Amino acid sequence: MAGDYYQNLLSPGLADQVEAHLSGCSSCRKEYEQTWKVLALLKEDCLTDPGPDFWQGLSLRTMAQVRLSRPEFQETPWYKKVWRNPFEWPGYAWATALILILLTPVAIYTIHIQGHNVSSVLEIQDQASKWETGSEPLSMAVESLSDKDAVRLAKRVVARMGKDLPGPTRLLMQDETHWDISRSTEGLNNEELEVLIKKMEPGRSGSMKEEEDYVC
Amino acid sequence: MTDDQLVERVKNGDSNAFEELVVRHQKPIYYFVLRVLKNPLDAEDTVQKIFLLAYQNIKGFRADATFKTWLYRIGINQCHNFFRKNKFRDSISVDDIPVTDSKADQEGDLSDKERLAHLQKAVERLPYKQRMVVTLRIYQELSFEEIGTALNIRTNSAKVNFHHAVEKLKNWMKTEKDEKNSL
Repeated sequence: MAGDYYQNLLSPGLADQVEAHLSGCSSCRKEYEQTWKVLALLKEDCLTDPGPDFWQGLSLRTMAQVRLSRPEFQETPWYKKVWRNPFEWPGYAWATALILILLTPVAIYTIHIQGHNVSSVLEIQDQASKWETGSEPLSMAVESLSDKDAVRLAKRVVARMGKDLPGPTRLLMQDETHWDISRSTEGLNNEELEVLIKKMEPGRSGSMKEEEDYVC
Repeated sequence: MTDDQLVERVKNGDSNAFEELVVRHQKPIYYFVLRVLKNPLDAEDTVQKIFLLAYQNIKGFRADATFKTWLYRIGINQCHNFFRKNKFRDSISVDDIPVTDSKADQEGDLSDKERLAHLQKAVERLPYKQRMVVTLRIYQELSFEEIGTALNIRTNSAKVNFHHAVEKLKNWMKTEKDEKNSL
């Protein structure tokens, strides 16, 4: 309100109120006077008038430049308008559309890959649980899976039972729980072992090295 | 004839109407640019550029602002561009601007002249936006609404900037006075 008072922007009623306050409050009065002095001093700072010749010369020079250039009065053709701002969308709408166009294929690919992996993992888990509960021999569980998934199942078996097949049971993955270590390789019959070893032979899968690293 | 009527005539291709607008507005615009740029030659060039831009873009001028405010807006942008392009160029000192101080000249009152010089330097130390608001309000006598439009800020923001600028100037002047007294 004080700022408006200095600038004579208050309504008469409010200005009277401020005036009444200033007459009774010495600190506000002092502030007001100091501000008024600064404003008055600022207004004293006047620039010299260069004279009528200068103004005439300036307008002539300005108009000489203006007459050399004509304003664009022609209507912009529609194809230029569309090129500059198609559909008259604002910039952020274009940015959002571009981001969506770029991200959609990535999102579809990711969802597709994840869906594939989930189904595969579920299938392996299903077969593994069948073998663990004894409802199905390992050979059948492995045979019913594709080569790649069979190797994955074999990896699980090896990881849980031990590196050396056949041999004493050794649990390598200490952090994995819910594994019945009583079912060792000794529990597997020859046929099961044969199928397992055959599936894990080098050359059957490109991931054998990885598998060894996993086991060791 | 009002500015709006002249603008309409310019839009219809009458360049003489634009000359009338130039004559009408060149003085305040020149003073404003001179106060900002501190150099008469640069100010003259910039004023010509401002009117040229106004003429070239008059088709895009809408009636939501006055022609005067629109010119100030172009002027502010041109001054900003000037500073950006001539960032490292030496400018004429504030002391070299032709100033008429009637009291100081007539009475030879040096203290008033000194105070005015201090105040000019203090104005130079203000942040860009506050300096613009003070220049437009004190010297160009624009309303806060017009200042807001010219600077593309809200009216209240213009008022607040002006108030802060005046408070700073007051404090700086007070500090200088105290320092002088202590010496």
